[in-house]
Amino acid sequence: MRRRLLVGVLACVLFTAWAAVPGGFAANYGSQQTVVIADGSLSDAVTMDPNLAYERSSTVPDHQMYSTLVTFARGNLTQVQPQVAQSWDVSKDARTYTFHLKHGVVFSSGNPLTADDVVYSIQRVVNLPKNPASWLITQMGIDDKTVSATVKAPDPYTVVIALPKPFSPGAFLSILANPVASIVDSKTVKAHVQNNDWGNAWLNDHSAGSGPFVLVKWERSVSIELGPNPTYNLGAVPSIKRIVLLNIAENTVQREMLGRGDADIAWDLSASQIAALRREPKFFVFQTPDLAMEYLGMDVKNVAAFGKAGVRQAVKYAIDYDGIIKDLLTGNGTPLQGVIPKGLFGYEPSLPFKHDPARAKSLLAEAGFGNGFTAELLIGTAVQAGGISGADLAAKIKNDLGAVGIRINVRQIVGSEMLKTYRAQQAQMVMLTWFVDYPDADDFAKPFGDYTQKSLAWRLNYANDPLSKLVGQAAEMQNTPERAAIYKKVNETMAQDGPFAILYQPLVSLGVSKRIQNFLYDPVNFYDFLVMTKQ
Amino acid sequence: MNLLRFVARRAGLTMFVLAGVTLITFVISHVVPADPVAAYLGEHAPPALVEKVRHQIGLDKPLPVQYVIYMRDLFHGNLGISIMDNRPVSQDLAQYLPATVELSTAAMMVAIAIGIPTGVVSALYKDRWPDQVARVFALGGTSLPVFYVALLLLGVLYSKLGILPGPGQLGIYTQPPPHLTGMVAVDALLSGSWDALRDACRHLILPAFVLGYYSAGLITRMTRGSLLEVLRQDYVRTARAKGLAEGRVVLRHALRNALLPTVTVIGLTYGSLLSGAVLTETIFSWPGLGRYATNSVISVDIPAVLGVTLVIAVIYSMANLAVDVLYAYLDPQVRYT
Repeated sequence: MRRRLLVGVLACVLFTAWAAVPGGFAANYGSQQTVVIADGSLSDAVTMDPNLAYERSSTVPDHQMYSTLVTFARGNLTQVQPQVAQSWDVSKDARTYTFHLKHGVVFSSGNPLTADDVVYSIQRVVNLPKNPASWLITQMGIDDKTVSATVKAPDPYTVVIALPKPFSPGAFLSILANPVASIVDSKTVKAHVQNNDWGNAWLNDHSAGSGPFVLVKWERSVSIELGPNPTYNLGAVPSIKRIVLLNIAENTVQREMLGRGDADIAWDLSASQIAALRREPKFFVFQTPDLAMEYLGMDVKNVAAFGKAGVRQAVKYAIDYDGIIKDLLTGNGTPLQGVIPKGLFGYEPSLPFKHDPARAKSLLAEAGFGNGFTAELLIGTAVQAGGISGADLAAKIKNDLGAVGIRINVRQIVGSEMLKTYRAQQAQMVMLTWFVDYPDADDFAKPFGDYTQKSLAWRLNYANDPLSKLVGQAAEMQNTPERAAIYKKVNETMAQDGPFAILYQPLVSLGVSKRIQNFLYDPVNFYDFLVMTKQ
Repeated sequence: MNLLRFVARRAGLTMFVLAGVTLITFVISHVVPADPVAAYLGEHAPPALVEKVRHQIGLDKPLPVQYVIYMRDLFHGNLGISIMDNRPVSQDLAQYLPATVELSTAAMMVAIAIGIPTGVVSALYKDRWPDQVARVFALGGTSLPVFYVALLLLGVLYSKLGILPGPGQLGIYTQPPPHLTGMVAVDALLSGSWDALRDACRHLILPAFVLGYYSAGLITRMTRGSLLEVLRQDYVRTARAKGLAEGRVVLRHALRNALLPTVTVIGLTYGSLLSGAVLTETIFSWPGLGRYATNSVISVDIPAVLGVTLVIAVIYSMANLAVDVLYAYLDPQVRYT
């Protein structure tokens, strides 16, 4: 008996020892050609199909696998530049767009990229069921019924899009630069269609694009792995051959992986981890303003006081913006009070509101609410922009507003439940993050300013006809000084009268290994793996 | 024969239980205020798109109609399409279950390997120092939060000392073995990919220990308690009086009977490990059922939630049944009626 026990124990020890010894492992590409990104939000990824992709977790890889007609220059999100299209013409009325494609572009299958592929890709966007990204295209008047009449390929290298109504080139081209408008290899995709799914099931686990990388493997909620596209010819071949996105939920673990060299980039580090990382010689911290904003919405109908512009202004004066940015975000944000974030055409740098409780109190008294009032603030359970807890931020807001007599009851509920209430126009106050969809002022002015869009302004019962008209007008104009003047007016009206107190614009802060060189990142193009190198 | 009849009857009863489970989870997941379409489409979607998708998923139908459709599909082996990843739920479960089975089995082996010997030692040295040490160890297992132990061990063994690998099933430079069972270590063993097998085992050590430690604590306490009770019984005294060696008395005569309650604990813990390894799986980025279940709940992916619940219910029932059958083997006094 005793001998058997001894043998068992010995076997266990030997096994553990054998397993615990590190060893060299086979790999296709070495560490110099591989970039590993630890990111805690990969479980958001719904699909790898570029015409369906909407979350960052799926658009980051899609951006590497697919090309679009046009794209943005690095660091300049106001200037579109050619990608698959060599040039384009816009009719004077901003309704007809003609794209002339480059010759010789090929997909990873070796098939040439032609105008038919562009037409097929747009047809996919508007026909795929359950498509969260489709509204980007359908808002321009292209839907499953009109697509064949509006998007045409008169010859293999020309695409003509004739919109039913004018749409600003600034907005239109920036939507075409979005991964939703990625061009898929129609021959390959059509060969994999099952049950009229437009090849969606197949495109989830395979790629059919002309970008520098191809999909190697997507393990849902675990990892996304990209390898090189051997036929890539839209630019110089990148020196990075393999991209591995790992879903690491805990930022402590992300930090440890960065420390051991198992990850090159950590996405979700907290403000204190970022601060500590700055002192370490092996890493650097990369920061850039995100095209997003944290806002407080006030329903002008459900709370009588918010019906008065003076009360809405009082709220905006009562908030301690600098305190939020300095203490809560520890610098991970920047002030913003217009509805168009810094970095976009139409951004307004002057800030009308500073923390001024006395002014807030007098505004409240003028509006007849000198004794204050009570309102309920809905917040979600998710982490807010800039990586801080919604409950902490709400506590600060409650405190600031309480100081001028506005009593806030904070109610934290699941994000989707909150959205349901908000969409049904039944919230009193909300606190949420708004992210960019396409880098144009229109993407912000419409939801915040134009209630006819049935978006944010409408959810808060805020209807302002002159403002809606201005927003609609700007949506149809070229990026001229006149368009800029309209957005300036929109920003001013929203600040003085609108139901939103914009709290801050967050920064994206990434922890990066110093082995990575030429690191470029912006919130629209994401990582630039074309120029990136690794030691 | 008796046993077969017993199993058949229990299987029949299980069907009723499972039907009840589907009904309850179906109703609960449809009456909670969270909105699956809002969770899926996000904040920016215009109302028309929300309505369109609601219709596409079938959420605009009356609840009883939705349940009938769900049950009809279920009888055809169809668990529905996940809202979040547009894939059949059965395909998702087939992907995530093997990783959890692998982790839980390894954890269970760790728990048994640690728990039973510790319990025996603890009982034999009652109130002396080996017993005290074992009891503190067991108390740690049952009372320290799993995420704390996990982060602590990761911080020391992975981050500081670099002895063990970090999260995941395999290192990113390891060639994965061909997909046979979905359990990476087993696949590596079957295909003879020795590098992958070693890497997979290295990756298993920490999560299996973290997950197994909790159960090890339970098993230790259970083994100790029941062994102490059995050792007081007459037949043990008789065995000793016959002049049998002490080791033989304890291991052959006493332990076999003392293990009865331990087996129950092991069986039920295995069931709960399979279904509830959520924190361990999250911290170690283990692609298992626990994480799939949490993600489904967070995103209100109703078909996925229903699918996961059903699978967990089936696992629990099977574990219960296995415990009952094991009883017969260990204790001839147990009769099935």
